[in-house]
Amino acid sequence: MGGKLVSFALVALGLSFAPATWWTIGVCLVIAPVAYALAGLGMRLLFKDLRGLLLILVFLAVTQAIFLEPIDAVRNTVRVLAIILLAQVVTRTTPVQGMIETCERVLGPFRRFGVNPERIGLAMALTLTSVNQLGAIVKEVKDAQKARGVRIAPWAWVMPVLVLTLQHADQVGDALEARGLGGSDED
Amino acid sequence: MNSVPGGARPAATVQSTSVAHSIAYIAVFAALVAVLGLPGNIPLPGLVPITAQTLGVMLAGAVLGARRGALSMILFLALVAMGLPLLSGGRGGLGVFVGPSAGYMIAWVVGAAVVGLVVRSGSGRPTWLKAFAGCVLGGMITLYVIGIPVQAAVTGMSLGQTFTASLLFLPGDLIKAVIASIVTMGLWKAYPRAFHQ
Repeated sequence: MGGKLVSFALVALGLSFAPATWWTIGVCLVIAPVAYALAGLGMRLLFKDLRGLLLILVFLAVTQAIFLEPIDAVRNTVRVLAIILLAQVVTRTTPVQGMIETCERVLGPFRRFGVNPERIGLAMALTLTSVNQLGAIVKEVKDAQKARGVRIAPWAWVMPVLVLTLQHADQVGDALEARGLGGSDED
Repeated sequence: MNSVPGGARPAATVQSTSVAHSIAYIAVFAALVAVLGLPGNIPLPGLVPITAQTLGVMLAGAVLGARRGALSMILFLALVAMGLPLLSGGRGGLGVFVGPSAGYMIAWVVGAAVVGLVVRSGSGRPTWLKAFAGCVLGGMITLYVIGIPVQAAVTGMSLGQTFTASLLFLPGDLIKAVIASIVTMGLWKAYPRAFHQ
């Protein structure tokens, strides 16, 4: 994990300072497919990631084409694309659990400054469960309003959802407290 | 967060929030930002995507205050960096932190803190004026000030050019600031407990 991150940082830095030549543009275009192939991710995944980036790329290319020389516009666009895709390779080849463990290892030495890696891990897990909980709350409120059959404004569900969400947060807080977490110190 | 010397907690008062509740609020607002990204980007004519997620940044700062609001955004960004697809359009991973919008996202942390500082200034109670001023200062201007230079550096365009291109965000951002103010004042009436530090 550490080695992967350092090599990625070096390559990204190298690409950022490379001069605008057609040769650099070629390197930028080739480097991501090669990295995907080496990591065993496959071209299908590459195309999926490219589709996700399409809007940003078009925006980037259009604004660049308006303001810059064509070669600079092309160079900048493919460079940003290459760096994003390389970072994506790092992420895709490291499981979330591995990332969390790296996180906790990195944070360990900061314990003496009051950082609590376990609490941070807890907050991360809580966030992920809350995403599902929030979705459930939205559905619950919308269903309830539909069941009453009254014609109401399309945004009428927003405030009830948010109030229920905050109530949910307080319930989680109560539960954590009841299990002995909380009390006096800062996180 | 109120820390109590000696480790003993007094009987809960309305104004104090425990560490446990703070962690829960921080996590829930990080989740709220993720959920606001679910509808995806709204592509505008002019190809600038608008996301509702900055609405969550404004709300986190306004409701949680500067410190917890900023912590909530750090938590969200940490999960994104780990590769979870929590950004609008299902994006995530380290790639987004080296892309053109990297600065805007890092700025969410500072932005939420600024919103919190403004909304809690003076009496500490939110008002319409403070809510709107906070959302504009923290949720818009702070994001531009940090985001535009980073975008310029990543894309190789000049600051002026990047600024001009970013003006397309302005109308949508103003609407979000108005919505965030309305929601903040609504929550202050409906659920004031959430605002306790």
